[in-house]
Amino acid sequence: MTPSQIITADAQKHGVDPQQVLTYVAHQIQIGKGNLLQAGESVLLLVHLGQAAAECHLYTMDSPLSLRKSLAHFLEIIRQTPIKRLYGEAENPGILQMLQMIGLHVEHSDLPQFNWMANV
Amino acid sequence: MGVIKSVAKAATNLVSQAVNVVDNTVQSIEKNPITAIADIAAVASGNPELVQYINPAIAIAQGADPTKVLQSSLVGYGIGQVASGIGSDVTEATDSQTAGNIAKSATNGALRAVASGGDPLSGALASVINNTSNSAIKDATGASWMPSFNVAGTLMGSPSKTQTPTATTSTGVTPTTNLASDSTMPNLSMNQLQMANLALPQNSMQNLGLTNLATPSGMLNSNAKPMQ
Repeated sequence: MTPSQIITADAQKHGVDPQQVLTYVAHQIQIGKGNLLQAGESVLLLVHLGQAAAECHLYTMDSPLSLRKSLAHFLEIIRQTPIKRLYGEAENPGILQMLQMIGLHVEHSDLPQFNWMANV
Repeated sequence: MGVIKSVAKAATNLVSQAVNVVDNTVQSIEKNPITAIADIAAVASGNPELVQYINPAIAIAQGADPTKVLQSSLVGYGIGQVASGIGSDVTEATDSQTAGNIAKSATNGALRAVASGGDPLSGALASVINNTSNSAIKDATGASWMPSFNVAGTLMGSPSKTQTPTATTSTGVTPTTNLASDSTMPNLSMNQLQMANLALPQNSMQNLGLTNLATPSGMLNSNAKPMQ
C-alpha cells in the first residue's frame, strides 16, 4: 500500500474523513513542520514542536505483530535524530501498551493537547 | 451547478495534491534509513528547506554519480561554472572504491552537519573534499591536478540573490528549477568554501569561468587569495 492508501484506510477505519487527514498531513510537510515515515504498512507523521520534541500521528494497516515491528523501526530511527521527546493522543490503549513493549516509558503528557508523552 | 462543480473540482485537486505530497515525501525507513534520519534532523533543527539538499547528498551513498550530485548542488548556489570545472576531472572517476569513499564521506558529513544544526550540503562537500584522497581520484581519472578546498575559509561571494544560476543540463545536472529558490536559501554557509585556494594554475581560472560566478558584482571578492 502507498502511504496515502494507508492513511486513507486508517481514517476510514476510524470514521474520519480521509481527505481532511491527507490534507492535514500534506500541510504539515509543506509548511516544514512534518516528517513522514513509512515502515511496513504503517505511516508515522512527526510534527515538530521545537525543543527536540515532536508529536506523532500513527496511521496503520499493519497486523498487531507487524505493527510492533514497524513501531520498533520508527523508534530506532527517531533515537538517531535530535528528537528527545514524543507526544501523542492515543485513543487506543493497545498502542500505548505496544509502545511500552518496545521500550518507551510512556507517561501522562505535560502538554494539555496530548494524553501521553515519552522520552526517547 | 457550475459553482458546485468548480468547488468539487477544487476540492479534488486539493486532495490530489495532498496525495502527491504524502506519497512523494514519505521516507521508507526500511529502504532509506539514513535519509529519513537526516530529513528529520533538518526539520527538527528548523531547516526544512535543507531536506531537498540532504537527499541529493545522501543519494551519493545510494549509488548516484557523485559528480552530478556535487554539480547539481553547487549549481543551486550559482557556482555551476566551478562545479563544471571540478566535474570535468572527476567525472571519469569510475573506480567504485573511490566513489564509495566519496559517498561515505558525503553521508557522514551531511549527518554531522544537520545534527549540529549546520548545513548538510556544506557538511557533505567538506567531508568529500577533506576525507577523500585526492590522489585516489587522480589515479582514477589521470587528472594532472585536483582542486583543493579550504572549507574553513571564505567563499568569494555568497549565494546569488539576483542572478539565476546557469545549469549545465547537458551534463545531467539537475535543472535549477528543481533546487531551492534564492529566497529559501539565505542562511546556508557555502561561503565557508574558499575557492581561492583552488590549486589551479593561474590560467585555469579563465577556463573555469570564475568571472561568471554569481557574486554580486560578478567578480572575486576582496577576501579571495591569490591563486597558487
